[in-house]
Amino acid sequence: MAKTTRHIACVLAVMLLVAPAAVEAADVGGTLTVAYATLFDENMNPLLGPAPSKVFYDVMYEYLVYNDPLTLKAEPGLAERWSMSDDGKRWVFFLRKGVTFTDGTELTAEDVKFSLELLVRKESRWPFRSTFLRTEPKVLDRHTIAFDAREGSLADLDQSFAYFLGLPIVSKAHYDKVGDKGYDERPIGSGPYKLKAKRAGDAVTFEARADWRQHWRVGAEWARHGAFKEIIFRKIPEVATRVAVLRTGGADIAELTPEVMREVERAKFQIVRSPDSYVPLVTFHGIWLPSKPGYDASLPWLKKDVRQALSLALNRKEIGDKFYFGAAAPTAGPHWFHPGTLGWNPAWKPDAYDPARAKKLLADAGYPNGFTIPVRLFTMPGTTELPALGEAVAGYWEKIGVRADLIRTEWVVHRPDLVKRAFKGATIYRGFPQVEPVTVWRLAYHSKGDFGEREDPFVDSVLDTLAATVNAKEREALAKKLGDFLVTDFATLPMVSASYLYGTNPKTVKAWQPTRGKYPDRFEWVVPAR
Amino acid sequence: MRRFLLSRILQALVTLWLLTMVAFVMTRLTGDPLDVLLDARATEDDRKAMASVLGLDRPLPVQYAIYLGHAVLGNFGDSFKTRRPALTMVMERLPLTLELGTTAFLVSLVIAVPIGVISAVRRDTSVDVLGKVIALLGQSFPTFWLGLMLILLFAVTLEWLPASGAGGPAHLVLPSITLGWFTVAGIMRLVRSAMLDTLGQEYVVTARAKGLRESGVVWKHALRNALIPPLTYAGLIFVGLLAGAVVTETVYAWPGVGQLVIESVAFRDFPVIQVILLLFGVMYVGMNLVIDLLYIWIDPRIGLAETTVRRG
Repeated sequence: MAKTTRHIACVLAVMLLVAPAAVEAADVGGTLTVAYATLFDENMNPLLGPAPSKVFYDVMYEYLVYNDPLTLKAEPGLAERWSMSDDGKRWVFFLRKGVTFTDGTELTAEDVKFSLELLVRKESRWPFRSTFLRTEPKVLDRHTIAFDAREGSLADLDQSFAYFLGLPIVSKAHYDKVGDKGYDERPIGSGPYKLKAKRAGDAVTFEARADWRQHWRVGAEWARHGAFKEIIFRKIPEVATRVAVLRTGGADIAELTPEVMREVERAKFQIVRSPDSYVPLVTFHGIWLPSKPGYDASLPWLKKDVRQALSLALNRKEIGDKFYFGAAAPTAGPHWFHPGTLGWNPAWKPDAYDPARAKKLLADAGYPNGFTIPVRLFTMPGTTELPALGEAVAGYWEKIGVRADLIRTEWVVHRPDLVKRAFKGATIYRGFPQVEPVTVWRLAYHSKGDFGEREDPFVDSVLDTLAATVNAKEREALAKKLGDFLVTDFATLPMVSASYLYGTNPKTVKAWQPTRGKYPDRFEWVVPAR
Repeated sequence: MRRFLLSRILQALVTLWLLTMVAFVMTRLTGDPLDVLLDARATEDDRKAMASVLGLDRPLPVQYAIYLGHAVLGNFGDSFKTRRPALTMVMERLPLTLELGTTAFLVSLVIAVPIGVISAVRRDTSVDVLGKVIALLGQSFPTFWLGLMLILLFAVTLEWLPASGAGGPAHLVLPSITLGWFTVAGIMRLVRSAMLDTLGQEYVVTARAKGLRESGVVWKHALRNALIPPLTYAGLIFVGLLAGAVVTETVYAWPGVGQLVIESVAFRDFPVIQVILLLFGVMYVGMNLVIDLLYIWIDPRIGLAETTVRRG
């Protein structure tokens, strides 16, 4: 009896020891504080802001499709599956059943239709407003929705449905009740978190929904690894202050820039990279169809050998090691072509640093004493280092006799000049991975596109064919053809593959993987260290 | 006196009206907000739709007339960026800027006045030099650098104070020192020169001759009279601190009007920029008016002299 009692006592003791661990593993508690440079527009209603750029939307709203954080391949979201008709005139999405908003009502095809109609209203700033004006959403049943082409086909659009990546699904019933401004103040989504509080210009706080265990997306994972009960997004514009806040425990995740990376590492904090986030590169302007009004045949950079010389003059390894403090590596490929996405050719290799050959190429091209090229410099969100990088590029070019006339400007000033084809010279710009970049290729390279980076009848014909092609293999082949042409033509000069950098506190954050090439996201997947 | 007051109020209104015009035109010279509001992929139709929503598709004089008409009624329009009333956005940030500005102003006075007095009393001694150096250091350190150094020392190394944000009194310490120290030199020099003048006055000599304690003579009799010129100047410094808190608010992530200015300018959020400019304009004009009235209160001859000059 005594032995049995001891045995039971032992079992109970073990259970008591194990039980807290099991409970702890499934715990949803604590607060995750994210220090970020901006809170963007601080709008909670997708109608009132550029939806895809909101770091905090992802925890509150959900999307029809998601993408893998590293490969960017489309993955099922609120839509379990989807398809495009053979003629490219209809997309159909089959919704997951039993998904609920935080008020307990079920998310249906009517909500999806309403969300889309909301974002095509004329006051919407959604980047794909015009795209979706070409479609007519039709509710086929409670959990099935179709998007029909109003005219022509939808084949030229994104085959991987990336257009839906940034379409937050709102509750029609709630929206009807509270209106535009009411939804901004009291938004609800179907995501794992709901809005708790916000203070203008300072912070937005979210709280895990009480029924998270039943949540289709995070329930099982949170039960296994735990999660944070609250997430606070804090706006801290200055990077040095963000580092200080991280070091003093005021933040668990902080957005960093390369120059502070070493300091953060020395202080024993982890560095999380969003690999291959973006590629800083040189774009040329003036290589247009001769029929264009501003075409000038005398521009030196119209010659392929000159562009190759400018590429060979760049010491990409040094840029990665010194300018990016080792947080970037030499890369290849034209603008808007990235590993793992449409059109990428693994055979492309970065140009070697060879100033002697560059000089010879210049001499052979008729410029033994070099020439002057205007270079416009401006910053872009997340890549504020581009003007300084431009100065480094000017230094490399100077060594082969090419003088860069550096002109500081702003993107908003520069962009209209591109559209009007009024600027001839080069820029220091960047590209980042897109699931399917046909839209940006058209903008960048098509003679009718906005940016005029490399106009050519061949490029136009490939892009036009691509727009009319539904078959995935044929599209891949066409994209490769375009990429190979642009690479051998030295149309743009990629420098390094750089990463967005974040510092995390290892005492509070065990694991987190932001999506490649995007602003930081996936905070609902941060695994607490406890 | 009434005439003088009316003339000052009229001048203030004209100044503010001119300010609205300058602000309206200058903001629009910075470019088209649609370039910032809309994505690079936006089409011409998208731009036209958004321009009509924001009223930017009308001629500039019409836009100004509408703006002014609404502004007179207290409606300054909605922010392009957030679609919330611009005035509400500014007003919800203003208390934080007032809190920071007031504390910084107090810090400035607490440092500047004693240093000014001591420098005057110990004129041309090492104490005077030390006082001047302390005051001038605040003006010499770039606010940005000073803010970061204070964060590194007091938040990161010593862990005494929070590194950023607005919260309790502890959050105010570093930003208010950073902001306030900059103005110490100006106030200190004014206090010092005013004290030097006052200390030579007959009533001070008389007070000393009567055998009053030196500390009482300096801190009670002399300082009270010497403070009038610096305090009137300090009113403008106070408004300057509010308007000039941009860098401090950025370094300390203080969510006040200063940060809103940066966001709004970067975003070409015209309605918000206009409200902020008008707000600080009202503050400056109002403070000048108060100072004018203070001068008349202190010395009624000023008001009479103005009236006489105008009549003459």
